[in-house]
Amino acid sequence: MTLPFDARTEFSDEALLVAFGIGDRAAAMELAQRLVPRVLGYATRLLGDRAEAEDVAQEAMLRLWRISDEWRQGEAKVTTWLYRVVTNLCTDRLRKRRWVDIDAIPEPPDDAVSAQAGLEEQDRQAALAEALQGLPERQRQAVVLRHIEGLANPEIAAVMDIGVEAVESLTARGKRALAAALAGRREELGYDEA
Amino acid sequence: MTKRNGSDAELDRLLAETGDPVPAEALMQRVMADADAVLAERRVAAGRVTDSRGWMSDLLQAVGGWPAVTGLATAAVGGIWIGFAQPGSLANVAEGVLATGSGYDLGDFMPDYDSLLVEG
Repeated sequence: MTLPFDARTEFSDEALLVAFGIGDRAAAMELAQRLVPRVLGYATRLLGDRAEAEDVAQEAMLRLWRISDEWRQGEAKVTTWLYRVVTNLCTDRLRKRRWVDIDAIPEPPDDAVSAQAGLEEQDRQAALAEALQGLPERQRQAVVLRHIEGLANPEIAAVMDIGVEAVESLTARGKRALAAALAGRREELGYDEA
Repeated sequence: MTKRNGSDAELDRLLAETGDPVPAEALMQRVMADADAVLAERRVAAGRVTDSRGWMSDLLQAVGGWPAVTGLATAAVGGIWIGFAQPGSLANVAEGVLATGSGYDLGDFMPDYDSLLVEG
């Protein structure tokens, strides 16, 4: 997949953030191109709502801009810090949803969504997104960070503020639940019943 | 078991194929507008620090800084000294000028504080 915003340069995220902290606007542009797609993708998978995820991504990036002049290289990874901010922002929004509008919670996947055989890749991704929304919040965070965002367990532990063993447990349980949710739709999604 | 392993592999593949979305241009513009606003706030804050010296500092700079102030202070103290410590008596000067006396003595030119000791 081609990521038009993924501009590769020799500078680390941390170096770019420090550069922005001392007034380099081009560094912010480079960081935005690198990080916004990741932040947006993560928030979308946690919230299941693109518009809300865009608001979260903007808020997370704003917090990153604000902290840039205090950032010290070598103390933390920018992505770890950012994923943590996004996780907390999404948790807040999900909590508000529970109290404000219970109808806004995405429905867990069921077998009646589509009976059409041989769905395209896009539909498989839609089914995956739907199944992710059916997971408990912490399992969803761990599964997305581990299996979609590609973070290592110690980094996930730092993002979620839990131990590595807890991360392993959450990802294992989350993945099992995800597989179970999708198992009933194998034929519908175009997978052979081998 | 075979079926379960196959299902796991499919799930792994599905997860691995999941890419990040392409952000809308409007979102990128909003993010960069925030970055610009933060930079502008910092420029204003930095300017405020520079301007926080106040009118005393501006006045000081206008007259030439601290060296000029030390000169002014010396002149002021000298003026006060001259004002308070006048010579002993004009009569002594008159005598000297008119040559009616024996001349000046060193004490005639010393500051005279007698006027300050007079009660009244």
